[in-house]
Amino acid sequence: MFGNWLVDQQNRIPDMLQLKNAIEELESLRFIIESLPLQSAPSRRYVLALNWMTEPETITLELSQVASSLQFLEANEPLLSDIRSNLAQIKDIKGTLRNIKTGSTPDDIELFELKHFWLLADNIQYLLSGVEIKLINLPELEPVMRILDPEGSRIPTYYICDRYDEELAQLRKSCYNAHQLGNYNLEEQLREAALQREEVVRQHIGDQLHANYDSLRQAMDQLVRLDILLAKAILFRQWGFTNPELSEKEITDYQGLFNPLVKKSLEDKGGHFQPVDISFGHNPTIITGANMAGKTVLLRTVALSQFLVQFGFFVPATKAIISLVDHVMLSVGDKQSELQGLSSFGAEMVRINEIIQTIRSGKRVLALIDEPGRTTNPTEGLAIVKSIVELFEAKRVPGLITTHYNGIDFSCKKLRVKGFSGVPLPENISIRDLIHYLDYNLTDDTCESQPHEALRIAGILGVDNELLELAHQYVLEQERIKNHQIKSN
Amino acid sequence: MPFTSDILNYGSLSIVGVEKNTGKTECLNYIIRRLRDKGISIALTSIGVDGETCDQVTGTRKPEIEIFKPMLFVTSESHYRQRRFLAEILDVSGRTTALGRLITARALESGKVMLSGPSDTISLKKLIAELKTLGVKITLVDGALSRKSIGSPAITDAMILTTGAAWSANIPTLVRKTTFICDLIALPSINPDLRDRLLPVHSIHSIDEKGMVTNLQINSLFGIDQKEVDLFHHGYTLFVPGAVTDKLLNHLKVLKEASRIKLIVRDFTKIFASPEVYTQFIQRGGTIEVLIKTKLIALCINPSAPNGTVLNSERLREALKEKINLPVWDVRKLAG
Repeated sequence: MFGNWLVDQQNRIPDMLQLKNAIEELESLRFIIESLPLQSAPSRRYVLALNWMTEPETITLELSQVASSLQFLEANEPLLSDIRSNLAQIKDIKGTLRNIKTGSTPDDIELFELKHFWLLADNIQYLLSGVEIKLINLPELEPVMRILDPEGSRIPTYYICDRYDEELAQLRKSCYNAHQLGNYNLEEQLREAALQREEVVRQHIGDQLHANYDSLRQAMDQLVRLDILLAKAILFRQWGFTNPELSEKEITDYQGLFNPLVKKSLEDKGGHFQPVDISFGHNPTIITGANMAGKTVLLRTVALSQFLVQFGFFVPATKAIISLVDHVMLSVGDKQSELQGLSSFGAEMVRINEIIQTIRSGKRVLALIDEPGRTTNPTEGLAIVKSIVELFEAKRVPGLITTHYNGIDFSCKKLRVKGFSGVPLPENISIRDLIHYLDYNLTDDTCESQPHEALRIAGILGVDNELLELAHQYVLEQERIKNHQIKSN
Repeated sequence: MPFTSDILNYGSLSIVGVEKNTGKTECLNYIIRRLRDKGISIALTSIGVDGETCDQVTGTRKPEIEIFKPMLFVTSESHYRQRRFLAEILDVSGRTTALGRLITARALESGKVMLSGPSDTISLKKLIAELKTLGVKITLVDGALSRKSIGSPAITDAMILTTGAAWSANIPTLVRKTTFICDLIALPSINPDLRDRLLPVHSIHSIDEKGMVTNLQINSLFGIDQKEVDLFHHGYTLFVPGAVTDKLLNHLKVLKEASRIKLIVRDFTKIFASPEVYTQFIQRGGTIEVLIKTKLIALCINPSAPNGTVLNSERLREALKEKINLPVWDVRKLAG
């Protein structure tokens, strides 16, 4: 059974990724996407279809556009609410656009939708006309405007008016006259003729719109793009995101990195998020540290930032240099696989195998692995960690691997979350206040001794005294044996 | 002319038939013509698909309601496409019905249209407010008394009820049944503060003397007589979001606390109890109040029934006027 699992999983190696797939993998990414203050109805659909980018040129271009949007915000604050309220009225008319593309005859409702949309485009173009920073490129609107608004009324209502067609106008007039004269048979005949003529006119309008389909499409794409750019800029300004620099030396370096989702939930409870600095290259880094020290959050946040930048977003940090990869792969205890009937160990191994297979296929992978082998015996668990590190070193994989295993003689870079070390905790501290005494900063780990904070934290959590006392005795005993061994060597 | 000047005091008016063929359409057409003659800006819609027919299945029925230039009307995409007169689209709503999105349009000539409006009360209320922003003075709503409908005509400011021989061929019976409906429409409304708190509530709640609202954690009073439920732990006022049936009232009226019980219902259309059981409950001292109340301003009668029955119009009018202190009009005399 297990063997089959691994074979099945080969197909799960990701290829072309869209944002809608990525938000399934990372809750904090979903949080950011859902927080985007988008206005127009189709914008969300466009955002979810954003493609994962790996080319530095395309990412740089997108980021520079976002940077321009921020300048636009600063320079045009008074215009902003007008522009956004026009954007908010844009409806998703993909069905209508599709019909225009195929050349089918539009009905009055579709023509109303198009006219409504085109008038909004016209408003927005007018609002942008005096602005120096060019965020979007709208097509020339006048040709389509003449088709949808032959009377030049600029009013967002629609019907097939007399101006479209002399013959239609005549038929309607005759029909009206017949009605006034009480000649109902004639009226009915003329009405039928007028309705038929209307349909001819609609077909003609449809043909003209079909010929202008590219303009319609471009206008929709560009206005949605404007909405997305403004939404990004507003969010990034509000949350203090930064425009990352793309690394040319395979180094990723964050200063003041934070996780907006965790930050918000902490702040909702009256706490605050402590940003961290972290730097790593194209080789594995081991991260150790006490329980509750935020190691898992750190992995998720690094994943989040990598996703963000390669989907064209700024990142939650004060300063960032980021090395691009082909895939971000995270292993932090996959509930889905466990639900599919695998044990937590099984699920983890399947995920790690996916990561390794992706690496073997020649892709650049940012691998973020949370406590590999934690659910099995320490001997084999430690062996698994060591093997992963060795493999990653050989393949030059940028990877962060957290672990609790002690005294590993790794040749790779080792970091430790400072945790409680050096900070005296007051008596009777509550679990709520505990986080105020945690130092989430990373420091180079000397590997001399692992911080023994698990029992201390368990004590603060109010775990049974006798249990803790026993555990403490065992720790002392183990240390005695260890020291003895060192002496006798 | 009858009752049109009174209508002008209201921003929305529903015309509701107690039964098919009681003259609702004639009544509506009459009001539309009178308002047009006065130059009043009006809009027309309905609750759901024309409440009393199932023509969305057969699609055979002809549209009946006359639209004049420059009236506004709201109907579904599908019915909008079926019209044969010229109209200008003003809005395409995000709200959809079984027949597609709702279209708000202005008639550019006269014609007839099938109506299908919002199917629930809240959407109807929003629509009426939106129409007001388009300059509409009064919105007419083709309403229905239906168990199936989740939309209630009670949301309109005022109401006209149509009744007639099609409901009962016997004048005393018809008067009794019609009076009962009028009594229900006249049920008092609760204070606005409590109303606003109960409007979003969808399960049975108890309200104590201080106005505290407590969820009784029961979904339905169906089969309440079988259950060991302490309904009155928090007080004798109960909010019942769903139907008030004979079964419920029969259960309550025999309790020793019957005289202290006050039921709060959404609006009068939620009371499905028979006149007999309702009367017994009231006689035992029970009371009923509503969240949403409309003002009945007139009755319209159709003395003819499709089966050939023709009642004496004057006798019916007099009998109704005696019971219900409101104008009563014969629909056939309105037609001209």
